[in-house]
Amino acid sequence: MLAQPVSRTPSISNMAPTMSAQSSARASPQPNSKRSNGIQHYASISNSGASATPTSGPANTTPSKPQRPARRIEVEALMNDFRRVLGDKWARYREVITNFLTGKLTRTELEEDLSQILEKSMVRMHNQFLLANLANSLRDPPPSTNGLPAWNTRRKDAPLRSRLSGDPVLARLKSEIMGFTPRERRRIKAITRESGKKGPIPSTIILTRQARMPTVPVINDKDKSKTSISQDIIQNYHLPLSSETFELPDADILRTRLLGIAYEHGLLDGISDEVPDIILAGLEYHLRDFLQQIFDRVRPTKHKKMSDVPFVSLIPPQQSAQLAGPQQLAIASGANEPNGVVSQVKDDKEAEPVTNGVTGKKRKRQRFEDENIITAEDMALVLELVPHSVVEPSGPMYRLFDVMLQDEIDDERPEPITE
Amino acid sequence: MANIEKYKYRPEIQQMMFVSGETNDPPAETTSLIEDIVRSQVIEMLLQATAQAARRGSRSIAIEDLIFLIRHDRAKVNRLRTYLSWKDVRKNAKDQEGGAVEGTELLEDAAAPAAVVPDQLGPKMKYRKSKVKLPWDLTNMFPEPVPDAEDDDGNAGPDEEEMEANLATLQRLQSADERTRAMTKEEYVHWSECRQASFTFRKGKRFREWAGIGALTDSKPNDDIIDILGFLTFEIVAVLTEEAIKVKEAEDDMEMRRSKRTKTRKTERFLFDPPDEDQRPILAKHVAEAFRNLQIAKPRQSVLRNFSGGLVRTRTVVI
Repeated sequence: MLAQPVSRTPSISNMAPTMSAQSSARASPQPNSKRSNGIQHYASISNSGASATPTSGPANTTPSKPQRPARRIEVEALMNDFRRVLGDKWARYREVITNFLTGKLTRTELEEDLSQILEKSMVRMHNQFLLANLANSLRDPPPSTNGLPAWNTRRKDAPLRSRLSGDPVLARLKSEIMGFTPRERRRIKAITRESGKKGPIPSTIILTRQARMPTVPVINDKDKSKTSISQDIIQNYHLPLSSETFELPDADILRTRLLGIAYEHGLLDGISDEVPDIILAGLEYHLRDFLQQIFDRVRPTKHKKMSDVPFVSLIPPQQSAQLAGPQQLAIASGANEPNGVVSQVKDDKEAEPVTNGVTGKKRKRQRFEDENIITAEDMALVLELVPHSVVEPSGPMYRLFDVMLQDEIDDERPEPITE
Repeated sequence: MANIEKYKYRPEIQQMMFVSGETNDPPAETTSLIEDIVRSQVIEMLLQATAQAARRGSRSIAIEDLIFLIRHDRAKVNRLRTYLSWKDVRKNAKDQEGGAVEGTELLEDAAAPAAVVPDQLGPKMKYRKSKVKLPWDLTNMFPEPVPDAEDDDGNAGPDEEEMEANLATLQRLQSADERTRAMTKEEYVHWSECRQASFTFRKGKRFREWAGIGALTDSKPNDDIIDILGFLTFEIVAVLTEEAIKVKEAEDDMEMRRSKRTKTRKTERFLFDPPDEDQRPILAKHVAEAFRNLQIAKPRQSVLRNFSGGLVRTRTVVI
């Protein structure tokens, strides 16, 4: 006796027509066709009805856009209207429906009860309500899982009003958002936490800057926190570098620096008193070893004081990049031979530039005397020969090889006339 | 830095430095540094000797393990062997004659060439002298005992390398000779007492504690090992002192040359001038520099890595 099934959504309308047909059969004998038409009609109304968002629900032939899940039907408005209409009998109606849905009432019992509750005019609303719920159940679950509070409350004066209307802020917000076009709203909904972040920045400079910024350790254990940790770390970065002061660091500077570095790397207990001394001793040892390598390899080609062979200096002394280092240190480590090399610091007055107009010979002789200079080129040569004399290639080494070297100058080249 | 009380061997070190050429009183810093160096060297020696013994499959350190560490320095090896043979002689003499060997303490620097010994002791002693066999020696590499080129006293004649090795020993003896030439009797007595300074003689227990031997090896090293360590520590102090003197002299040279260059010269000497150059004692920095010079790794240790750079793990060199 089923009405012609709605061709649109056969699964849904299979049940619905029977339900409505039977209930309506009790209520009033009406032709089934009209019933099914009514169903269709109401289904279409529900589409354009209370819910503002167009649903692609039963009105559509198939789930029209498979890539976009169908929207839920706004059941709450339906329910509230229905409830208003039902008035006092809402509680009983609710009870009956619940019992039926949970299996405590059979179909026939449901129809019996409903026939007592519902009047003829309410049938359609009832159909709508149930159909909408059924359709919703096949779609994605709602964002809020609170359920419909209106369904659950037992008080008669329970919020018949929409839940949003009680909260003015939310209501205003909702009205504003509903003012956007659907496309806007879709776009707004698509914004997640990751939006706007473009992924790793490919620039080396920015990445380097980020890597070089001082890292302050985060202390989770609250009773061990010290307020001065970030201070110490920043102080470390304010100290002058040895390449600026042209001196090896003394114990105080070294201690400040070590403290900052220790804090940065998570050693929150600081450093003890002997640490800077030991590190200073080790630093001197290492530097002396390295300088000794240089002297051993460069000296045989230079400083033949007794020989008259003019040897090619790599650069005229006044232009050479000179080793910056404490003089004592250099002297002491080169002290094994009396013809020791004097490595000059930048302010040494003995490397005064030769004035113009000096003849080539005299200049050569003076250069001969001043040849006891280790230049950056010698250092680069030694680093190529013995790369393990330093622990690993580092920034200053790269700078030496890339920036600081100058070309060799022949003896035969005419003297440049400088202004 | 560290408190001075924890340095126990200052008098011994002072005596040893005196014997090795240092005429002034070294400051406490110097002796503390030397003591630290000696201790670390002892630890290093024990560690390496234990490793060597483990390679042999034995748990306890033998004499040969220790000698293996210094095998490249033939002079020292010879001196050590002579020293050990003196010990044997003394023991045998005591057994034989009831302890009548006079001069109860062995001289530390018992570096007299082996050929002299039998003349002093008399013929029947010389055959009791046992020479420590070195397993890595060329003569021991054959399954049959190789006959040495023997002199009449049964010792192998010196070959070229031995002569070179003896040269260092002789030089030391010579410098000692020059120093003691002008001494009075009291001074010489003082000198010979200082020569007997040892880290371990009659203080074996204290030495073991100081070196922390229990922490290094499982097995307790026997007394022979401790004696050898005593000998080697004396050698270390002597070598350090000699090197430090060289460093100091070079530095003083440099100072003088530089002062000459800048044309400041001490024109007159006054009565209350500060002491001259030769009055300056060895400072800690000289010792540090001397130690560094002795620790320079031989090129062969780094050549194997093909000079490609990277961190070369260096072993502490046993002086």
